[in-house]
Amino acid sequence: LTSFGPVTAATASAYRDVGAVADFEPGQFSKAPIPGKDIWVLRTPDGRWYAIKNTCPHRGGPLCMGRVDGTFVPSAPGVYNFGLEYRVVECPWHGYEYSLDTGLPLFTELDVKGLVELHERVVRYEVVVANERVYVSAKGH
Amino acid sequence: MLTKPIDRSSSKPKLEPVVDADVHPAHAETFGAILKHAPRAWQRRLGYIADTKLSPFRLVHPRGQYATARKDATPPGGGLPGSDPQFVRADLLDRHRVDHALLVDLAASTAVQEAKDYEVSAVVASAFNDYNIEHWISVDKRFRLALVVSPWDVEQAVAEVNRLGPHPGVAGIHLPLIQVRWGNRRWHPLWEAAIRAGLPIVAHVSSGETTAYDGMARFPVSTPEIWAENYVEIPLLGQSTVSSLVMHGVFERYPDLRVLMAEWGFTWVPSLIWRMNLAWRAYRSSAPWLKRWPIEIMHEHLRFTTQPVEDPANNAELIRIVEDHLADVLVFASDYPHFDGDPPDTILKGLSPTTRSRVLRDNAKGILRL
Repeated sequence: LTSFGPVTAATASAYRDVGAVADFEPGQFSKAPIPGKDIWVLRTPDGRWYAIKNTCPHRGGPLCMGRVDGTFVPSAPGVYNFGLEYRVVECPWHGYEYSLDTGLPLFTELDVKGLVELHERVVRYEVVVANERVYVSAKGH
Repeated sequence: MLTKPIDRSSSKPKLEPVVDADVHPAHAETFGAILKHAPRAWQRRLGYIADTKLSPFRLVHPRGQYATARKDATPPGGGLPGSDPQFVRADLLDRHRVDHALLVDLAASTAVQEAKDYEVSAVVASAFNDYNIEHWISVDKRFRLALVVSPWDVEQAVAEVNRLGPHPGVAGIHLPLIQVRWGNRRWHPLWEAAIRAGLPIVAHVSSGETTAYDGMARFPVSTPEIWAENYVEIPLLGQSTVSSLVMHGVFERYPDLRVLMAEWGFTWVPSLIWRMNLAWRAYRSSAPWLKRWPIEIMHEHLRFTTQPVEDPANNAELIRIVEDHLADVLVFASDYPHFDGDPPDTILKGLSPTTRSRVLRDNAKGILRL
C-alpha cells in the first residue's frame, strides 16, 4: 500500500503516524516512535516500505540491527546468483535470513516429513504512505 | 566354575535374516598371492614386494598388526581369522543367518591408499578385486564385494567401476579417503560411474589415515600417537566426509548417489546434522545450492553402519537415539572377524520390531546393490 485516502477516525485508530517520508533514510531500518513497541520501519532504495518487530523469531535477536540486502538465491552446485535485493533481512545473531515480504525464513520448508517442524515468522506491520506521512498498522501479523 | 563349550553344530537358535554390511576378508598369504591377479608385466614390476606381508606401514595395533581379529574366528585348519571363506561361511553366514555380507577388504584399501604411484595403486586395486571375486564371491552368493578403487587417479577408478561394476557379486564401491574431501569436484566422474552402475559408495576407515604419508586423509590437529586416541577419533574423519558431501551440494548435483558410512560410529549423526542445519541457515551464502534441510539430505542419501556400537551407561539412551533419529539410516554390520565386532543377536536390544527389521536388513537392502 502506498496511500489510503483521507485519514479518518477509523484509520487513525488502526494506524500510527511514524513520521515524514523524508525522515527515513533509504536502505536502513529506523525505530518507529510508538511508545511501548519495538517496531522498525524500512524504506528501500527502490521505494518499498516495510515495518517489522525488532525481534528475531529464532533466538530473539534485534533483527532490525541486521543487514538489509539481497541474498544468494538457490542455484546449481558451484554457482552463485545474487537476487532479492532489499527483500531480505539477516539477523545480527546467527545470520539467519528472513523474507521481508513474507516474514518467513528464506528457502526453508517449515515442516518436512516429521524431520523438521519450524515455527518462525517475523511479525510484520502494514505500512501506508499518505500525504508524505508514513503510517504503520497498530496490529502486526 | 566349568562351563560347557558351545557345540555350534547341534545348537539351532531361531534366527532372523540379516544383511551384514561390513565384513573383512583377511589374507594369510604374502602379497604374491594377490599379485598373481595382476598382468604379467606388473607381477615383474612389483615382484620386489611379492614376499612381504600386506601393508606393513600402519600405526601398529596394540594387539599386534595381525591380531586385531577374534581368536574364535580362526579357521580350524589354521591361518588368519577371516582368511578362509568356507569357515566364514559357517561361522558368520550360517551361524547368524546372514543373507548378504558386504566384503570390505581393508588390506586392499590400505594398499591402494599407500601406493602413491598412481599406476601401482590402480593395478593393485584391480588385482585385489579379481582375487576377491575368485576366492570369495565365487564361493558363496551371499558374499558381496565392495569394489575397491584407487583414490589417486579418478580416471582409473572410473575404469575399474566400468570393468567390474556390472559383476553381480559387486554391491558397492569402496573408495579409501585421501586428503581431498568428497565434496570436491575431482570426484564427480566417479560419482557418475557409481550411479551408472547402480552402486553406492562405501566409506570405510582404513589404516592409511594413521600413517605419515603425504596426501593421506588427516586427523584433526595431528595424527594420533597411540591407538586408543586413534580409535576414539575415527568418527571425526567420517563427520568431515559427510559434511563435505552435503555442504558442497553433491547430492543436489547427483540425486541418485548413495553413500554408506561404514565403521565411523553413529550416535554423533544427529548432532552433526543439527549443526549442519544451523550452518546451512547461518552460512547459506556459501552454499546457496542447498535447497533442502541437511537433515532431509542425510535421510535420503546416507546410511551408517552399527559397528562399533557406542557404549552409554544406560542402553535405553542408545535405543532412544536410534528410534528417534536413525531408524531409517542405520545398517547392521558385524565387522567380522575383528575383535570389537558385534553379532546381530546381541546388539541394540530393545528396538521395536519394525526398527530392528530395518537395521538388520531393510536399510541395507535399500542402499546396497543386492
